[in-house]
Amino acid sequence: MKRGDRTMLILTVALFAVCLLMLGGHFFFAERDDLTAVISQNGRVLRTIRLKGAKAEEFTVKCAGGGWNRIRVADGKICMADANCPDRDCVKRGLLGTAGDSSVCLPHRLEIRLSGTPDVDGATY
Amino acid sequence: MRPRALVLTALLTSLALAFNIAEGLLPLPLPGVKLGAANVFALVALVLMGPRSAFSVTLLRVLLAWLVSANWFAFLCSLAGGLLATAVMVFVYVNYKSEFSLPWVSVAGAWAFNAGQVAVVALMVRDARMLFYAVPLLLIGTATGWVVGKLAEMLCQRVKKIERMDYR
Repeated sequence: MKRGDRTMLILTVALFAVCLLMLGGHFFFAERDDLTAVISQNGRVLRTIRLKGAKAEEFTVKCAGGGWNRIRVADGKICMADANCPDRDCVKRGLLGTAGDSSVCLPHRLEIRLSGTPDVDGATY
Repeated sequence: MRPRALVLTALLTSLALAFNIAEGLLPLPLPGVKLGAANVFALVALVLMGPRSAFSVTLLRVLLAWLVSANWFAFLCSLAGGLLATAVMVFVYVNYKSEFSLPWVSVAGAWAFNAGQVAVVALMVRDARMLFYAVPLLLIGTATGWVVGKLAEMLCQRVKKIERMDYR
């Protein structure tokens, strides 16, 4: 193994340690009562929904150029149920149920993000 | 451009495009995650012909993939990621060729790709917290980056062997 390779290996181990710590923290602190879904478009908050005990509902968010996303809330979870964007990555993301989870529809600049007490809110802003 | 460089660059670009499209047909575990097999060919171009050819392969592949998929967002992500990754790989390979083996050069490129990709997404949704998405991307990117580099290494050896043959 060459010298540079060893440096890269050490960097990789350090990176994995940091990443796994962050992921671990994410799961450890998840699932709290004040789990809230924040739906925003172009960085502007459209709606926030308290997921704990929220009643089941489905609604459509429209965006410029005829784009739309159907958002479904049920059983304390939320998901993009359907969308007419080309890749539908946001729909494939499935149900969101823990703090820090997010689903983003890039074509429509639409984002659902779950936040709760232990989330990193504020730390980055 | 010398005929050898021209032919090889064109060949590698078309292979990169084909792999890019084929990969797009596979289901993704997370949005934005894939093997990045197209990068094998940019690396091979870098080793066999140098930085200019590596940038040509990356840039042309990204542009052509955009024409095929008509996906603006994937295009911007791979443009930012691809250019950053190529720049980092060129820098490492040109300056420290003797100290880094190809798989690790590729890992450095994968990290740069993830950084560029996440930066574009965060800018587009205007939410800096999107940057945390880099965590899973980097974990997977390290592994796929290494595999891609190993593949490029094997391919380079074979191409060099073919080129040593005498065709007259």
